[in-house]
Amino acid sequence: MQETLYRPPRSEQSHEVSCEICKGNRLVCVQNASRCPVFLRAKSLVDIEKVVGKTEFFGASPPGVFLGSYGYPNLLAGPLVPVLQEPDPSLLDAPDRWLDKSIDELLRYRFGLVRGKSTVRVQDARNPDKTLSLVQEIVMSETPTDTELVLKKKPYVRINLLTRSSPHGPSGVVERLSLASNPDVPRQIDKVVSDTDLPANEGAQFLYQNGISQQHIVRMFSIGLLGSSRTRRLVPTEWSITAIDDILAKDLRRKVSEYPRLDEFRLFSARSVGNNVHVLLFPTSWMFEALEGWLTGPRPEVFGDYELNRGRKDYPTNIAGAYHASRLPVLEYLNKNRRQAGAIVFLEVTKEWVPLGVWRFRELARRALTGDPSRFTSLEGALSEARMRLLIPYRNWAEASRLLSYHRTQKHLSNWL
Amino acid sequence: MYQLRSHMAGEQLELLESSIAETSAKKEKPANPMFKATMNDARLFRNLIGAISSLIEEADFNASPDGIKLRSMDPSHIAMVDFEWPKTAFDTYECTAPTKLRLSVSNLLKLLKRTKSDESIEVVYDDANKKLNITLKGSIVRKFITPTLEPSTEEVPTPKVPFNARVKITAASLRDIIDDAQSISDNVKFEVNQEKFIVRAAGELTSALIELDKGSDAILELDVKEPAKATYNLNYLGEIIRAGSGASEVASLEFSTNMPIKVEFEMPQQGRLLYYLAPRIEAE
Repeated sequence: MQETLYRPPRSEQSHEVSCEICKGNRLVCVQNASRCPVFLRAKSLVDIEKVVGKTEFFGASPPGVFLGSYGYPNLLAGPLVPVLQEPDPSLLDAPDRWLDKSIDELLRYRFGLVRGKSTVRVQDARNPDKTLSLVQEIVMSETPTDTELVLKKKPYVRINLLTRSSPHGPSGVVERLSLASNPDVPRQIDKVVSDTDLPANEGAQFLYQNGISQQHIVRMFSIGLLGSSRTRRLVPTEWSITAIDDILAKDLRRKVSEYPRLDEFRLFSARSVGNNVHVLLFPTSWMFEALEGWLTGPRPEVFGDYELNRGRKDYPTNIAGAYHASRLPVLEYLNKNRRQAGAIVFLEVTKEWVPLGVWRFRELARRALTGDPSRFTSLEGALSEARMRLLIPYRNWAEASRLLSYHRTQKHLSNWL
Repeated sequence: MYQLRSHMAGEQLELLESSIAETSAKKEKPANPMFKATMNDARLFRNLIGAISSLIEEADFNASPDGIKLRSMDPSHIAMVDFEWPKTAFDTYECTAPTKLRLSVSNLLKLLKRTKSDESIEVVYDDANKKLNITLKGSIVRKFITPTLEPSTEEVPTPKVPFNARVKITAASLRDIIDDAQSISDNVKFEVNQEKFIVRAAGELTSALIELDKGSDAILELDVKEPAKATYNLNYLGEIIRAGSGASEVASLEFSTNMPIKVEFEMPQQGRLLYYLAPRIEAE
């Protein structure tokens, strides 16, 4: 099921990973990495060729893991091991701590991660070979684990840019993997991994409520450590990110739809790493729309997806993972304040941005929603303020939005009772 | 004895093997149940629960000696379902005193989804434990026990709408029309005059126009006091019509310009399944 639910659609790929060279067709740069501007920029930050001209790597995995979706249900799975000295290696795979970093710093973090590749099938999660079971151990740990990664050949130097997950650097086929320190596994993680009757969604919920970081839950889900024994499987990293955003939101939506309505309009904003996020809350029952506006092309473009009170059953094909990533923080906010509201999230991507993953929408929305909102008594008031804050002309947003016109035109039965 | 652990919305559910279910049922069953009903075709029951679940997740079922009634608004107060099932719709029906049962309709539907064509159903309310016992009997007997919730005290009135037009249409054609409209737009516009029923939907690039003349096979009756046109949201209307057409073959649409629409599905044995949906009105 996961394979159909969370696959990135073409629209996401072409907008997320697009530059003048590849125009979204990543194969162009895979075949000829020296033309990819992001690769060239990363290379200027890290003298990567010098540090990866070998086959044996020793470093503290953040912990990090990557599973590509290519070839599903056969996947390439393996750990991410840093080749550069970092005082705090856990930072290399911690999107929730990245908003205050510069794009160059983030590129350096990720480009310096060597990825080991080992061929696995999705069902191998329940019956892992030696390499996979070591990767599972690394992933269970909350803190970095010293890892020795021996590759068959010197790694191929390039930067792997993806639509949702963060990029990583050179990769090579695993010859041997061993751990040089003991993984530090929190009690809750152990409990969920050893409970083979617990469905994946409940396991993820449990970890989330017990303060395990979302990124940690994503890694666990991806490497097949969640779920009842018969259903455990490996899930490509990109799909896991969205699956976890979606799973965590389901329970919150149910709670939020029982709370009293907000009694005013609120507008929240945050900006960082070449992205601006604005969240507009309005006093209705739960409904949600995410609008994604791109300033990277020759003219601004806005895409959107939405849901009404009952939530969404099908996949948000226009903006895909960005939808789930920005919906979760809104539900978290409403649940924390025990209020119900409608929400429109404006996601703005500026020319500075390079593809580093969908986390920035989630983390920017979370940051925006922890700040003080501007408060309004009317939709028009809130929108005129939003208009000032948005870089892309308001007209483009209004044309793309379905929820604005729904909110303005839909009548309620109470008018006739 | 085996128990199947269920993880539906954290609620407990037990599935017991037939022989054991019968012995334990004898012990649990109160001498005189307040409410007990059976139906030979369990799928009919499933379709009706499906029709309700299209709009609401939890609802109060009012059981009385005459039958079951339910009227509830969706949480956003845009649509309403009004449902009545007289005791004659059941094969056996006993209700000694009016009883209000609040149930999670979506949970109920999850149980009933697995109903097979040759199964009959028995529903018993266990007043002492506030639980609903559902037994599906086919080649095996499956018994489900599901908790009831605290009923609300809110009474939902019927919308007061002066309807100027009524279109009686086969449920299958109505469903086709709505599916067509939904493939291109979020909204549908209904227009009716003495001669025809017109459906319009407009998307960003594509628009659709469906005209049904009074004499067409799909239109069973066209009763127009005054021409009318109104726009409705397809998320809601689509759910309503998909659900209703699963339970009935004939639908009536009643509406007036910029007023709510009433969608009624014909039911056997004086049963009633109708919905109201508020319109969309462009501010001018």
